[in-house]
Amino acid sequence: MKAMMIRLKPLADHWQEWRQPALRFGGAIIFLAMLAILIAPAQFPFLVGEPVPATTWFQDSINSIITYFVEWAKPFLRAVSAGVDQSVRGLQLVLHSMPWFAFMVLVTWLGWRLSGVGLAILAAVSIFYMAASGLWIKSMNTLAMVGVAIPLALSFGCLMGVLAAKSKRAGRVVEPCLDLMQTIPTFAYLVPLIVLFGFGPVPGVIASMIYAAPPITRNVMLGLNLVPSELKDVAAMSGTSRWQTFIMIELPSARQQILVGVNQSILASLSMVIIAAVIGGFDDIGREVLVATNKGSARFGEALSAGLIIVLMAVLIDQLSRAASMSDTLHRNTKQLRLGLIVAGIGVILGFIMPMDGIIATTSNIFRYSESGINDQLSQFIASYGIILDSIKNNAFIYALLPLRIGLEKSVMTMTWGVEFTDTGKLIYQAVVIGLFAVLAVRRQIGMAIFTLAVGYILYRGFTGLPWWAVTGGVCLAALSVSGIRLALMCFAMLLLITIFGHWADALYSLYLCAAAVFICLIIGCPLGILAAKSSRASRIMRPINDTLQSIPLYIFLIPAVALFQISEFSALVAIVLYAIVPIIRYTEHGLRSIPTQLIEASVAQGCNFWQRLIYIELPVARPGILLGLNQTVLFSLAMLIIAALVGARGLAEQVNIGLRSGDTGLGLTAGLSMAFIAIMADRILRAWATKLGAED
Amino acid sequence: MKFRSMLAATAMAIPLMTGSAIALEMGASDEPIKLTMNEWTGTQLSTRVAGAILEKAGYNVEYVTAGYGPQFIAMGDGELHGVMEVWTSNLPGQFHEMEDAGTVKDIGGLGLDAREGVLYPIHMKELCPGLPDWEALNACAAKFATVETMPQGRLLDYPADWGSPGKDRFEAMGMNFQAVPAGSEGALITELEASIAKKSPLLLTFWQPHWALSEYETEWVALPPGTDECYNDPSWGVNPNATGDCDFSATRIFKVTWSGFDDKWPRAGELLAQFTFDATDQQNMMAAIDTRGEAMDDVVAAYMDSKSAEVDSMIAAATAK
Repeated sequence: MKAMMIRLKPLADHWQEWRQPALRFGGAIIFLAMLAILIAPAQFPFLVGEPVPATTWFQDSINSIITYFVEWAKPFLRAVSAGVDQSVRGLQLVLHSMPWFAFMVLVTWLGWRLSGVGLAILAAVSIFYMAASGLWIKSMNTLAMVGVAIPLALSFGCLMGVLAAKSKRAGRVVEPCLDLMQTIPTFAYLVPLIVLFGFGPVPGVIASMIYAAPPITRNVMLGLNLVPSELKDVAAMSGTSRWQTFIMIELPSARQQILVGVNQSILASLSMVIIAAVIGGFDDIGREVLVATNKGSARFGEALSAGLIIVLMAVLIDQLSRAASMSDTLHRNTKQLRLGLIVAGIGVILGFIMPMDGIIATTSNIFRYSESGINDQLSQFIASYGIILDSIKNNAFIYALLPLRIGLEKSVMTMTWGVEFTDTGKLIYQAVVIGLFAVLAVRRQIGMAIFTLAVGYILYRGFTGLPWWAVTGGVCLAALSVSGIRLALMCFAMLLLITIFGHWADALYSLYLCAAAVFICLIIGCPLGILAAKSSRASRIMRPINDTLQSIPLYIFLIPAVALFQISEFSALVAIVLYAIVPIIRYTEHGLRSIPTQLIEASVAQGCNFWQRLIYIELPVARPGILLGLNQTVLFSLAMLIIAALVGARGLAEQVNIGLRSGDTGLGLTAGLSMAFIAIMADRILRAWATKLGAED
Repeated sequence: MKFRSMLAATAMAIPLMTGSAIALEMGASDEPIKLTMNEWTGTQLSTRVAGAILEKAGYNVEYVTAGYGPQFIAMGDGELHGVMEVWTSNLPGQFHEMEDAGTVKDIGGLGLDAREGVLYPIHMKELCPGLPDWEALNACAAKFATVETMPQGRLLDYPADWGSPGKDRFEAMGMNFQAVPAGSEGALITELEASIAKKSPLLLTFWQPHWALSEYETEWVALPPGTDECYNDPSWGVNPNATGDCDFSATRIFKVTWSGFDDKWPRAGELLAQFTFDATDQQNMMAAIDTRGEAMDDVVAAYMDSKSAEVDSMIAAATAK
C-alpha cells in the first residue's frame, strides 16, 4: 500500500502535464468500446457483463464477524445501553409528570426569554398542538428520546471534530467515517444495533447519534481550522497552556461555525429517531406515524396530523437552540424579566393545580373529525381525478421511465408507443448520435460531444443495459477531469466493490431511479429557486413548505404517492422528488441572492434586460452554488430511495429492507454500503466540479 | 372463544415439565412479562387479550411496541418474552435458526382461522363477469393490466421481504399475470382503497383476518384447492411439471415465547400455551377499533367480561395442574 502511494505521488505531481492526453486516451478507449458493442455485441462478449464474479463472501463474513463481535462486546455495550436506557426513561418520567399546560407555559416563557414574542407564540402554538391532537404522551416520549440523543450526538460529534482538527492522522480516519455515517441508510445497521444494544429506545438513540454526529464534527473541524494563526501566536506569547488556548481562544472564535453544526445535528437527530421507530420498543410519534401509514389512505389524516408534530418539534427545537446561541445579544431590563418570570410561574402553577384534560378531550375530537375529513377529501380526489392521474402516470412511464430503464431499443413497441422501432430506425438513431458526436468533436466541444454520446447511448440501451466498464470508465474519467487520480482510483475501487458484493444490477436500477428524480428536481426546482430569488413573496410562501417537506417523517410521503399513482416506479419517483427537490430550490435562491450588487448594477448599466441578465450574468455566477444544491439533491434522493422501496421501487433499497426484515445483516450492510459508495462518489465529483468552476471564475 | 380441551393441553404441556407433576408455580410474578405489540390491529388485540388473561391470573404484564421483524432478535436474548400472533406466511428469515438454536419456542397455534389467497374488490365482477373462477380470471387478464405489466395482468403481491406467494402460485399455474411486489403493507392497503375509490382494476395477494375485509367488499379468487398432493406431486393440477399450481396452503398462526419463559413463569407459560382466539371475534373487535373508533382498552375489557367464566376455569386448570 505504502509503495503504491509513493509511486502515485510523482504521478499526482505531474498530473497537470499529462492530464489532457490521459483524458483523451481514456475517452477514446471508451468511445471505441461503446462503438464496438453498439454495432456488434456478439463479437465482443468480454465487453458485456461484469469483470469479476459476485460473491456472497462479504455478506457471510460480515454476518460471522458480527456474531463474534457480539459475543465479545455484549457485556460492555449492554452496560452502556443500560445507562442510555435509564436516561431516556428518567427524562420520560419527568416529562410525563408535567401537565401539558405547565409545560406549554414553561417553553413559551423560554421562547420569550431567549428571543421575543414571535418565538413565544410559535412555542405556545406548537406545544398546544401536541396536546390538542391527543398525542401528548407519545410526543413526550419522542421528546425524551431526542432529549438524550441530541446531547449524545453533539458531544460525540464535537469530540471527533476536535480530534480530527488537532491531529492530521485522526483527521484522515475521521473524514471517510463521516461520509459513511451520513450515507449508509440506517435500515442497514439497525439489526446489528439491536443485537448489540438490546431492544428498546437505545438502538434508536444510537442510530441517531451515528447519523447526527457528522454535521457537528464537520463544522467543528472547519471552525477550528479557520481560527487565525495570529490569534494562536498571541496566545502562545502570553504564555497560555495548550489547553487554555483551546478553551479560551480557539473554541470561542470557532463558535459561529460550530453553532451551524449544532442546528443541523439537531434536525438530523430528530429525523433519525423517527426512522428508528421501525424497531419499536418505545411508544413514540414515529411509531404512531408508522402504524397509521400501515393502515393505508383511510388513515392518511392521522398520519399527517401526527407527522406535523414532528415538523413543529423540529422547527421549535431549531429556533430555540438558535435563539439560545444568540441570546447574549438580547437586552432587556430587569423589570420586564421579573414580570415575565412571575407570569410564567403563575402559569406553571395553574397548570399543575388545574386539570385541563377537558380541553384536550374536546380538541382531540375536533382533530379526529378533521382527520377523517382529510381522508374523505383524498378518496374523493382519487375518485374524481383517477383517470387523469392514471394517464399522467402511464405517459410518464411509457415515454420517459421505461426508455430510461431498459432503453428505446426495447421499450418502443406498437403496444406502447404505437410504432415499431425497426432495424432501419435503429440504424438511423445510431447514425444520428454518432454524427452529432463527430460534429461536436470536430468543433472541439469535447465535453458536449461526450455528453451527447453518453445520453444517446443511455437512451438507447437504458440504465440497466449499461455495461460495467462504461459506467466505471465514465465515472473514473469524470473524477479525473474534475479532480485527480486519487478520486478516480477511489471511484474505481468502490464500483469494483459494489460488483463483488453482488449488487451491480441493483445499483444500476437505483442509479436509474435517482437519475430520473434528480433530472425532474432540476427542471422544476431551478425555476422555483429563481422565482424565489426574484420575488420575496414567492420566497416567503415557499420557505415553510420546504421546511415541512424536509422535516416531516418520510413515511408520510408514501400514502399520497400510492393513492394517486398506485404502487409503481412513478410513485417512487414522486416521493423522491418531493423530498429531494428542496435543496436545489434553496441553493438556487441562495446562489442568486448572494450575487454582488455591483455586478447586477453594472449589467443594468450596460442595458441588459431581465432575461439577458439572468442567463448571461446571474446564473453563470451562481453556478458553483447551484452545483452544491445539485449535490445535496443527489444525496437526498439517494437517502429517499429507502422510503421509495416501500412503494414498489426495487434495487439496492429493496435489498436493504429485506436485510432488515429478515435479520440478514450481511445483505443489508453490503447493499447499504453500495448506496453509500454511490452517494460518496456523486458527492465528491459534484463538489470537485463546483470547486473547479468556482476557481475558474 | 373456543378453548381447546384441557386434556389435549395437558398432553402438550407434560414434556415441558420435565418430571414435576405438582401444581404450576406462579414464578417471578413481580417481574413484568413483556409481550410485543406489532404494527397491525389484529395482533395487538391478540396480545392484549392474552395479557389480560395473565393479569387476571396475577401477573404483571408490559406491552412493548416492537417491529415484527426485529422483535425476534430481542426475544432470543430474553428481553422480550412473548409474541402472540406469528404468521407462517410472513416469517422473518432468522426465525427458524433461532428456533433450532433453542432461544425461542413455538408454543402452539393461536386457533385463529387464517386464510391467504388472491383477492379482488367487488367492482371487478362487472369487468370480468366470470369471477371468482380462476379460469375466467385468466381469460380477462388483460383487464387487470397496467402500463407496467402490459399485455399481462397485474397481480399485486406481498412486499418483497414477506416472500412472494402470489407470484409463486400464479407462475406454477401458468397464469397470464405478472406479479409486482407491494413494498409495504401500507402501500398494499392504500392501493386497495384507491382502487375502490376510482373503481380501477386490481388483483392482490391478501390475508384474513384483516380489518380491510370487514370494511370493504371483496372476494377471493376460487383457485384449485391447495391440498398436500398439489404441493408434493408435480403431476397434480393444471401444470404437470410444477408443485403448488393451486390455492395457498393453509396458513398457520402460532404463539412464540422466549425459551426461558416456562422456567421463570411456569403458570403463565401454561396459560399462553392454552390461549386461543377466534377469528370472527378478532375481526369484530378490529372493526370496532379501526372503523368505529372505539378505544382498544374498552374493546378488550368488554371481551374479557363476556369470556369471564372461561378465563376463570382456564386459570383454575393451570393452577391445579
